[in-house]
Amino acid sequence: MSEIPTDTSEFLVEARDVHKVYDTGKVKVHALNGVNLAIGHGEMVAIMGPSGCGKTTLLNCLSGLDSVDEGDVLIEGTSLSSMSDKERTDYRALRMGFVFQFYNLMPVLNAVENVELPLLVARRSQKQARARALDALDLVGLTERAHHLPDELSGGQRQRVTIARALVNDPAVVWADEPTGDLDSESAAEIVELMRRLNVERGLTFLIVTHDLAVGEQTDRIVHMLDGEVVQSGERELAPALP
Amino acid sequence: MTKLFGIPVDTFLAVLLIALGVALGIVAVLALRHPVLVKLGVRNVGRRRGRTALIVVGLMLGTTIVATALTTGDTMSHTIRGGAVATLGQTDELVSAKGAEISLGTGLGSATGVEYFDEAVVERIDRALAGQGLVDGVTPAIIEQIAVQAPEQRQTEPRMTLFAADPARMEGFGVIEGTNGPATLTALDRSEAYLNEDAAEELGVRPGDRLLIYAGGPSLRVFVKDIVSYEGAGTADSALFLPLAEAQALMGRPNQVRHVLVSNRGDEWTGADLTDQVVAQLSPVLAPLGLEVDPSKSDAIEEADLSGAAFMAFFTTFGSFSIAAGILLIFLVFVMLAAERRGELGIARAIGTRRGHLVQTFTFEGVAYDLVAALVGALFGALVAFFMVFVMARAFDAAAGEEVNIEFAVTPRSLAIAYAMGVLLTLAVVAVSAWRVSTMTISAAIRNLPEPHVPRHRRRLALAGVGLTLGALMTFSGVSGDSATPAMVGTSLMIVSLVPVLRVLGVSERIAFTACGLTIAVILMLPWSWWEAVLGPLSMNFSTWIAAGLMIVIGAVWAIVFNADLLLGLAMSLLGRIRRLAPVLKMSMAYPLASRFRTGTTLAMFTLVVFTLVTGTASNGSFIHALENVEAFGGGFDVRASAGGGTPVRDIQGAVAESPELEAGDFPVAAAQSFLPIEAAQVGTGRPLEQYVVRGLDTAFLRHTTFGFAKIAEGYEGGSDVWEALASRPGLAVVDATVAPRRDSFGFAPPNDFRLSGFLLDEGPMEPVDVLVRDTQTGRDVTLTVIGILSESTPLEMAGMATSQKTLAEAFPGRAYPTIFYFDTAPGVDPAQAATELESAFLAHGMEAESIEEVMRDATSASVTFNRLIQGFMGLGLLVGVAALGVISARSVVERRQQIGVMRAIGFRRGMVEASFLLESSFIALTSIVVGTLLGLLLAWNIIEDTRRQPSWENLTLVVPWLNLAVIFVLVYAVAMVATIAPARKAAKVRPAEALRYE
Repeated sequence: MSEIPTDTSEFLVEARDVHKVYDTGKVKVHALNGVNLAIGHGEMVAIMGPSGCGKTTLLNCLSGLDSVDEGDVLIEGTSLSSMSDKERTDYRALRMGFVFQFYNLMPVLNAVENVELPLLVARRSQKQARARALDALDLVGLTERAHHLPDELSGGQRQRVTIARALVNDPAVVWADEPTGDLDSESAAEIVELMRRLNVERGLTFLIVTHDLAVGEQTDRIVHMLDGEVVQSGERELAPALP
Repeated sequence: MTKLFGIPVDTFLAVLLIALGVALGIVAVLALRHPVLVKLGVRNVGRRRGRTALIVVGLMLGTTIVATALTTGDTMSHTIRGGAVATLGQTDELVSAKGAEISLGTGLGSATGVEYFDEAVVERIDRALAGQGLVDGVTPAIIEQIAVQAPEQRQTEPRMTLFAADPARMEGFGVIEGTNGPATLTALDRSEAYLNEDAAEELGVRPGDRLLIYAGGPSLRVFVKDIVSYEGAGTADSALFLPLAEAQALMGRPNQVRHVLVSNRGDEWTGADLTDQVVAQLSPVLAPLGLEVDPSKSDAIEEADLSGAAFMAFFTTFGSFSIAAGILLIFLVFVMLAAERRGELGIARAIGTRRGHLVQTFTFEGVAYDLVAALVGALFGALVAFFMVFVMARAFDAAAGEEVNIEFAVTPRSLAIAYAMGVLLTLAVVAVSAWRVSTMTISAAIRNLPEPHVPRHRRRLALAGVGLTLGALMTFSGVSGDSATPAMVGTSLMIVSLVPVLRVLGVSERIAFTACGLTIAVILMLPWSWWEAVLGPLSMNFSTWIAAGLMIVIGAVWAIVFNADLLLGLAMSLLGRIRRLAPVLKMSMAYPLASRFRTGTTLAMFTLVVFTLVTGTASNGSFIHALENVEAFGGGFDVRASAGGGTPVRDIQGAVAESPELEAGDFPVAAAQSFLPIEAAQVGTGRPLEQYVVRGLDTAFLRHTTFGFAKIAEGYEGGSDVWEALASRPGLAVVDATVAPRRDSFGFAPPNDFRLSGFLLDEGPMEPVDVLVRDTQTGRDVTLTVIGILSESTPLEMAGMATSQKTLAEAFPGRAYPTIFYFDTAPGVDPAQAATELESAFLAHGMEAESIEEVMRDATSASVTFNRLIQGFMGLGLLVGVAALGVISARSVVERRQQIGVMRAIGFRRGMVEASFLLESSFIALTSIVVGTLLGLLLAWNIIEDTRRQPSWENLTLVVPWLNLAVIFVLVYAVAMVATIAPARKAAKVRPAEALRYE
C-alpha cells in the first residue's frame, strides 16, 4: 500500500478555492464555485443547504472520491491532487471512514464481515481484522448482531454497522452523507448521539452533510452552502481567512 | 424416412410451422389491440445496443446448434448424392445378370463368374421402351476392373475401371471432354485408348505414351490418345476408355456385354424420377433372360438421403446437451431482464397497468429479440456446419485414402426447422418469464426490495404430488417396457418431487436439496448392472445417456450450490492467508453464494458442456484405443489384398510359391476368401430375402485367423472351436454383428435390410440359426447354419456372412473363386514392403494390397478426427456458457454499481474491483471444470465397465486422454475469462462519486 504522508498542518482538511464543474455535453453545471473551508482536528462539522447546492459534491471532493477542476484540497497537509488514484484509494482505506445515506453495506456480507472489510483492504490479517471488527461493533452496541445479514437488521442497526465500518481502521476523518436521511426520528437521534459520543470520547473528526437541522445542532459548526458557495459557517460568522 | 428427435422430419416441420403461425398470430392480435404496449416493449430494444447484442447472442445459440446439425445432414446427403451422380453420370439404370450388382458397399470384394450376356438384348430393351418417352439413351457396355501399367514411366495401377460402350449409342450419356474439345469413342483406333485425369496422374502418362492392359489374359498394348474428363458409370476414379468391340476382344467376350446402360430423360439429377416407370417396362422383358434392371441412381440417392438423415440424427443427439444449455441461457437472460425492469414495471402496475398488460409488454420485447436472434442463429448455424463439414472432409480423406469432395448444401426445410424451433422455444421461455414478472409485489418492486417470502405449502405439495405420481408412472412404464430412459427419468422426477415435501416437513433447504441432489447424482452414476439387479433388464439408447446426463448434472449442481458456503469457506481459509487477496476473494465469493439461481444456472450450463465433452472424449478415446491393436484388427494377418472379379487367383499358396518375384518364405501363411453378393433370409421367420453378401474362407484362413466373436451358439466352446467347426463341417457360417439384434441401441447408421432374430447380441444365449442363402444370378440356394456372431470390433472388411470356401464353392460352382487374400508375414519382413511386392507379382490379376497396420491407422485416424469434430460440435455449448457469463457479469456491474462505489470509497483499488469480478467467473468456471470432469470420467468408467461385459469388448479399458482434457480445461477457463473481462474492466472504471449517487 502507498505510504501515508505525515500530518504537518494546523487543519485536518482544507479546501482552497475549490471549483467543480459537471459537463453533461449540453449543459455545464458549476457545482462548486470557489469554496474555501478548513476543518480542524476533532471537529464535528455539518454542511447544510438546499438540494443541489453542492453539499455532496463538496464532500466527494474533500474526501477524494471526486476530483476538483480548480483549487486544491489538502488532507493532513498533503494535496489530494498530487496523489495518484491509487494513492488516494489507499489513503481512504487507511485514514478515512464513510457513512452514506443508503447504508451501503454489502448485502451479501454479514455485519462483522462488512465491518472488517476495510481492514482486509488495508492488508491486516483475518484474525486481527475480525477482532477489531468485533470491537467496533461492540462500540456501537451491536455485538449480538455480528453475524446477521443487512436484510436482517433494522434501519438504525444498519447505520450503526456502517458507522462501525467507518471507524474500524482508526480514521483521521469520517465523512457522512445524509447519515440519518433514511431513518425514523428515534433512530436518527440515536445515530447522531452515537457520532457525537465518538467525536467527544475518541476525538474523531466528522464532516456531515445533512438536511436535518437537528443533526446540525449537534455539531460544533454548521457550514451553510448555496449555489456552490459557502455562505455562512456555524458559530464563526465566516470561515477563517486563509493566506 | 428421415427423422428428427424420433419424428418424421416433414411432420416435424409441419407441426412447428403450425405452432409458429398460431403463436405469432396470437402475438399479432394482441399487438393490434394494444399498440402502446408494443411501443413500450419494443422501444426497450434500442435503449442499450450492447446489451441488446448480448441478448440476441444468448438467444440465438440454441438455434445455431440445431441449424448446424440439420445443415450437416443436408451437406452429407448432398455430397453422397453428388458422389453417386459423379459415379453414374447420366446412367440411371443398369441392366445386368441377376445378382451382378450390390449396393451394400462393403468396400472389399468382387464376385467371380459374373455372367456376360448377348449384346442383342439391347434391341429388346429398345423395343420395350420405344415410344414411351422415358429414356434418351441405351447402350451396351463392359465395365470391368483391369490392371494397367505404364512401362516407360514404371508406374502401375492394379485397379482401374475399364469403360467400354458402343460408340454409336453414346447419345444421352453425356460428353467425353478431351483436351481440345469433345472426344468420341469412334475416334479411337484399335490400339488407342482414353484415360481420365485420375488415371493419367496415377500412371504419370501423357497423350502418346504406351500402356499395357491386364485383364486376366495376355496383356494388350495401347497408346494414350487423349486425357479426358467424363462422368459415367464407374468412372469416378481412375478409368480407361475403349470402344466396346475392343473391350470384347480384350475380355475374350465377342458379341457379349456385361451391362446395358439406360439413361432416362432429364439430366443426371432428374433422370432418376422416371426410374420406377422404366423398371416397370423392362422387368417383364428381362426376367426370362436371367437379367435384372438395377435402379442404381435412385437407390444411390435414397442411400444418400438415409446417410444424411443419420448424420442429422447423430448431430442433433450429440447437440442435445448444448441445446439444453441454450434453453437455460434463454431463461437466465429473461430473468435478468425482468430483474432490470422490475422497478419500472412496478411503477407501471402502481399507475394502473394490469398484470396481463405487463405480460404482453414483456412478451413483445422478447419477441422482438426472438425473431432476430432465431434468424441470425439459423444462418450462423449453417456457417458453423460449413466449417465442420470441411473438417469432416479431412477425416474422410484419411479413411478413404483419397480426396473426398464435400459439397456444402443447406435446404430451406432445415433452416425453417431451426428457425421455428428457435422462435418457439424462446417464446415459451419469454412467456413464462413474463408471467413470473407480473406476479411481483408492487411496493417491493418500486422500492427495489426483495420479494416478501410467502409460504406456498399447498401449491408446492400439489406440485410434489403431481411429480411423484408422474415419476412413479414413468418408472413403472420403463420397467414394464424394459426401457431405461423412462425408468431413469421417472426415478429422478420422484426424487426431485421429494424436495417440497421435505421442506414442508421442516427439513432445512440445505439438507433437502443436498440430499435429493446427491441421491439423483449417485444413483444415476451407479453401474448399470446394479440398476438391472433391482429393476430387471432395461434397454438403453442415446436418449438414456442424455436424460441421465442432464439429471446427474442438475443433482450435482444442487448439492454444490446449497453447500457452496462450506466449499468457499475452505477456499478462503487457504487462499485468504494471502492478505492482498483476502478482500478480493471475500467479495468474489460472496455474490455467487447469495445468488443461487444465477450461480446454479450458469454452473449447470458450463458443467453440462464439460461433462459431455469429458464423457465423450474419454469413452470414445477408450474405444479407439481398443481398436488400435494390429493383431486384433488383422485377425492374425499382416497384409490384406484383393484381385479383380474377372481375374481371381484360384490357388494363392501355389501362386506365391511359384512367383519369381516373391520369396515364399516371407509369406508362411497365404489365405483366401471368395466373395458373393446374395439374398438371404432367416429360415422360419417369414421375412423376405434381402440383399447381403457371403464370403468363402479357405482352410488356411479358418485355421489361422484370430478374429473374435461377440456371441457363440450353444454347443460351441470358444472362437477357435467355431473356426475349426467351419473348417471341418460344411454348411456352418458366422455373420457380422450389424445384423444381430441387440437390447441396447447406440447406432445411427441405417439398419441392414437383412437381420437375424430370436436372440440378443448383448444378453442371453443363442441357438444356431438357419439362414437361406440364394445366388440371384443362378437362382441356386443353400441353407447355412450360423453358429457365431463376429466381434463388434472386427473390421468392416469382414462384413457379411462367412462360411468355408468348400461349402460356398459346392453350393455356387463357378461363382466363388477367391478374390480376397490375407497374408501373415515372417518375422523381420516389413508388411508394407511385402504388400508392394504382392501388387507387383500379381499385377495381371489387378491385385491391390495393403499392410493391416496401414489400414488400421487410416481407420483410427479418421475416427480420431471425427471424434474431435464431435467434441468441437459439443463444445459449441461453450458459446452458451460465454454468453451466460457475459450476461450475468454485465448485469452485475449495473446492479452493484453503488456497491462498487462503496468498495472504491473504502479502499478497493481499480485492479481489486476488476479482480473480484474475474474471480467470480473463475469460481464458476473452475467448479464446472472439476465437477464436470469428475462426473464425466465416472460416467465414462461406467460405460466402459458395462461394455466390457460383452465378449466383443473384453479388453476395453478406460483410457483417459489427459492432454486432450487439459486442452478442454484451458479452453473452458479462457472462454469464461473472455466473457467477463469487459464487464470487469467496466466495473473497475466506475467513478465512486457517480456510483454513490446511483440508486
